[in-house]
Amino acid sequence: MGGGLIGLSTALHLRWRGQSVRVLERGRIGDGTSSRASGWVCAQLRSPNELLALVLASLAYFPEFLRRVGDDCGYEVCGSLVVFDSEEQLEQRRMLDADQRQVGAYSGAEFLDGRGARELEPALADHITGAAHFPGDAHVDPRRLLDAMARAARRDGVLIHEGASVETTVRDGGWLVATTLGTFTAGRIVNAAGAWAPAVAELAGLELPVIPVAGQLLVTEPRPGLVRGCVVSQPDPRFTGRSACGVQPTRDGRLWLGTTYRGGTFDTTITADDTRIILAGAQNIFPSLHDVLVEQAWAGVRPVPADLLPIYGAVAGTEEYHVAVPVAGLAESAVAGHLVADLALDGRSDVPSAAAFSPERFAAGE
Amino acid sequence: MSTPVTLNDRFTLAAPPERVASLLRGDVAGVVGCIPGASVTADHGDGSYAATIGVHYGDTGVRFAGIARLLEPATDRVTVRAEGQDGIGTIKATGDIALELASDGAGGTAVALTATFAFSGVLAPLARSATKIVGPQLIRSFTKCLSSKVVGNANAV
Repeated sequence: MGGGLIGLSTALHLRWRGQSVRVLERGRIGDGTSSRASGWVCAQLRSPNELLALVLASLAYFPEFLRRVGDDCGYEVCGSLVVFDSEEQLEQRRMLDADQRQVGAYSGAEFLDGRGARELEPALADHITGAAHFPGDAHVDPRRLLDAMARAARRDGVLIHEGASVETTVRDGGWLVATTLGTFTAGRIVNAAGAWAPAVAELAGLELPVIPVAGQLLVTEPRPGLVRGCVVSQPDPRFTGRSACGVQPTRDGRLWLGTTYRGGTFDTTITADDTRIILAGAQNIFPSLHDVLVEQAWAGVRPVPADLLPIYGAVAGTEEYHVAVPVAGLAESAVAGHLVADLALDGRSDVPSAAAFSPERFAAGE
Repeated sequence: MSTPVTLNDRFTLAAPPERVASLLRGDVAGVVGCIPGASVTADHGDGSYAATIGVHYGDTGVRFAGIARLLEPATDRVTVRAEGQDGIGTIKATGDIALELASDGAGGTAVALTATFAFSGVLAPLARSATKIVGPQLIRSFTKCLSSKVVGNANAV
């Protein structure tokens, strides 16, 4: 249930392990949040460490996954740079880096002074005094990834039903899933409805503590060569800006700028406030964007589990009802399906930190 | 109000408890400034202060503005109580940061820190989780800064 990146990855991996799979999508593939992703497969901003370990596993698996899908989807290891302009920010980043080094697969930040940062990104503002460089982070075209995954799923025998809004889920030996397109039966079901997962879970009398957090992105006119890799500002501990801002170049020279956070809402209105916040953040990093033209703006709704860890696995006491709700959807998308298929078919997985993501943690009444 | 989050830490400061207590009570703005992202913006003159704190999680964060006040302290315990909310009213927070001071037997002070935070509002569960994740880092910064203040103060005397 859910035809976004996580649902499709799950469908593909289950199919590749010989299962018969249907994807039920209430709208069109990727209509929810997936087509509004930023495309940045970044590990370095992720915490706690269980999430970092999962995203690093996904980064490592992405090239193989895309080979199996049959399209490179513009995947490129472009590295990323977290820039700062105060000792306090440097100190914060160093502390986070020290914690993250407990994760075996984390290779650590490379700390650069202002000059070193400008060697990588010559257009950085003069007030940038240093940066942390993460050479392993990557970028992928999210729309192309969605289309490629849907194509691969159909090619490999997954049935995809668009316009199938789930109305009821009833346990009946297996599961009976009534939708606007008709009723389907399944031995097991996976709730991969993202920010809408709690509403889908409720149909089965289950509670999922997932909060919607809306956010906006901007796409600028082409500014070829201005920005070489993904750049994000280290959050300002004195909060002169509300949130960090990321700037990503795409192959056509356009820049993707974002994002913002509006908690507790499904409202995807484009607002002047969010637009201003994003532009101010980007111009603070690259002053020459002061007159940049914005060609497109869009907003999406992220699912954010209440304890800030993704949810993967079977619901306690309800066998064969699985949940797959990410925190960093696009970044997790490659490994997510692998993990869900492992858990559904083997009851265990060697994906790092898999046990930490089990929905059973909510039943424990923490 | 959701279940409170409690964070604990123990550390030693290189000055006797009386001096540490007097430093803490005499420089609330300085002590608050030891918490990364926090600052006192006004002294109301009645033992309360206007203060702000920004807490980051990943690439986002929340800024709280509110009131911090020093609770009437016992000699061996200093407690700062803070209440505030974020700019758009999605989270209200209250927090007590209590420092129990005892002699470490070697001329210094053994400090037991207990910080308790409670949140309400639509994003309270997220604030609670983020506090559990970033709280230990904030406390480490706080104790490091406090140690250097105590050393600076001891040298100045």
